[in-house]
Amino acid sequence: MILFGILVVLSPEKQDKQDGIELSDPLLLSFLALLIATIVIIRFLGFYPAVLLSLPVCLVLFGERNYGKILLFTTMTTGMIYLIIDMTLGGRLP
Amino acid sequence: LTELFHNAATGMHLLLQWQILFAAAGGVMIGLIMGAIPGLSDIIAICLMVPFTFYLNPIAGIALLMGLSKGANFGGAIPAILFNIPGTPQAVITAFDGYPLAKEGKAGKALKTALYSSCIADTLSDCVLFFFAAPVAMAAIMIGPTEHAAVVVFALTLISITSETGPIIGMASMLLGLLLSCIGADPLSGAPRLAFGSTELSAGIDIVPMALGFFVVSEIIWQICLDKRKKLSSRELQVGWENKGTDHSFSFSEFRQCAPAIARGTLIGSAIGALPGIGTTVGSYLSYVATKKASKHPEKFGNGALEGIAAAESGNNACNGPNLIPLITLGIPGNLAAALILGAFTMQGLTPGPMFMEQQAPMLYALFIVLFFSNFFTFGFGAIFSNLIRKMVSIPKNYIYSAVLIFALIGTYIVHSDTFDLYYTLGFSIIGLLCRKGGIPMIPMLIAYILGPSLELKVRQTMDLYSDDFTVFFTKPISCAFLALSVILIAYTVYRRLRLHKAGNSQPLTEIKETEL
Repeated sequence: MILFGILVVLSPEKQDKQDGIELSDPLLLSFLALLIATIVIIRFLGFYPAVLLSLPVCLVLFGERNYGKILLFTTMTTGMIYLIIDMTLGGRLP
Repeated sequence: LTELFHNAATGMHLLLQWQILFAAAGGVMIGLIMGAIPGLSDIIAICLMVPFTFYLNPIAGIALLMGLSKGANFGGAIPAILFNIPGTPQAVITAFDGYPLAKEGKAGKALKTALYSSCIADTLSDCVLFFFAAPVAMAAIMIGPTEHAAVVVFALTLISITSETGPIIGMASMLLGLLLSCIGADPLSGAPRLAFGSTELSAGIDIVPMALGFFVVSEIIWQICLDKRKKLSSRELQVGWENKGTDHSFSFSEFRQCAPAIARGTLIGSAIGALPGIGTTVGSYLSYVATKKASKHPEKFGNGALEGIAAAESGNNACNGPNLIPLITLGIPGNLAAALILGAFTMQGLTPGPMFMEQQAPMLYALFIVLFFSNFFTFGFGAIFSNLIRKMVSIPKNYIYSAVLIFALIGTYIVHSDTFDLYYTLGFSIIGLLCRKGGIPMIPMLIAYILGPSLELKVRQTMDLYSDDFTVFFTKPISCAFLALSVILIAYTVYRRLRLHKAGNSQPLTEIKETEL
């Protein structure tokens, strides 16, 4: 870790690739919060409730405002996950 | 040679299961679609599909990933040609000549050039793999743990110094990967290391949550923020070239005109592909530059030269076959896609390395033959569905990204059916975002993480064999040569980058502009 730190600090190249996005970007933080919430919901409520709750929020965060499309997409995605994982692959989601 | 064809015949017999060819065809189709959607690269596609290979038999699982890689390689050229937006990083060079042709109303001609060049170069490079894997494996069997450790060090060095942010940061990232690989049980004693009392950590961290966190979740979140900042919308991709002209044919004389570029691209791409860490983008770039230099009309390059498209596409696709040689014979992945395929092999309980070719020859030859079938599928699907696939480029990214995020979480869970893995993905997503912000490349980290256990094992085997005498690495000629080569490479690259940096010329390959070629 010490060597890693020294190399990063010494490197003259690191400034070249820094992007304009701040880690405090509200959108970035919102997505991280959504990710954490989704994982917590998966762990305690199960996968399908998590998808049904987080997918619409995710789309709203993306800027989608057509609630009909959001509902349709959420339902279709959940159905597709069920078909692929549970029916086709025989997997068990929590 | 007789043994090679005997193994190939046995491999062919294994291919009689419909599941394998179906997986390869499915992989190509998914790869074509995901490669064609800007923002979803071949790497994201492979990361997402690796967990699902767990449900398939080993050959079908690996065939799916290989098909994916091939499909995505060509798929990336579709938006590059039609919209000047490369679907994959390696398609950047294809856009130089592809887009000007599309603007002239010759999009079909450009796509056909890309498709034919991709499939021919890919098939020829698969022949290189088919015929050279066995001799390399035979040579690999003869080397001991000392030499193997030195080769791994050399591969890690090459991967680190060729990272786009520079050699020092690349090496720092590689060291962090090696440190992460130490988490879990000691390979010899089984004692937990760096687990901090956690039972989950003492079992080690799986490659799947790491790859999904680094290259899918953090990438998607980063892309979303970038797109919002640039106010990009996929609807903007509707450009006005579609009604201009209708020259979509690709004649035999045009093919003959492109043949030297394809041959050159195949040679360069195959050579680049066999080296760890260099990558398909470099293959594409070098092939393009060599063809431009050899051309009687270099001024046409960048303005819609068919040879330019042929060179770029053959250069990047020819990396595919030879890229698997170090993976299969030494267990050293040549690039990130190969590293993920190695992860899939490991998930199936298979360990690529010097003995792999001898122990699993029929299975490997079955996979080699699947590669040829995958090229055939790419050709067929590319020719039939290009028009349909290009329409997918205009699907709003909101929906695609949301679905990808959900599938990343599913992929994390289904490997071990353990929700704790989701925390790993979350952790690696955060690390991935921090790395992106700090300009730290994650590819050396992931590959070092994969190679770390093998390096440690070989070093410890050497220490056991030679009574903890570390100088053996420098007294054995092969290991000494590889270590010396590593030191020379590091010194030369650091010196060169520092000179370029002082001159203000430091520029990663991904940002090369057409005018500078």
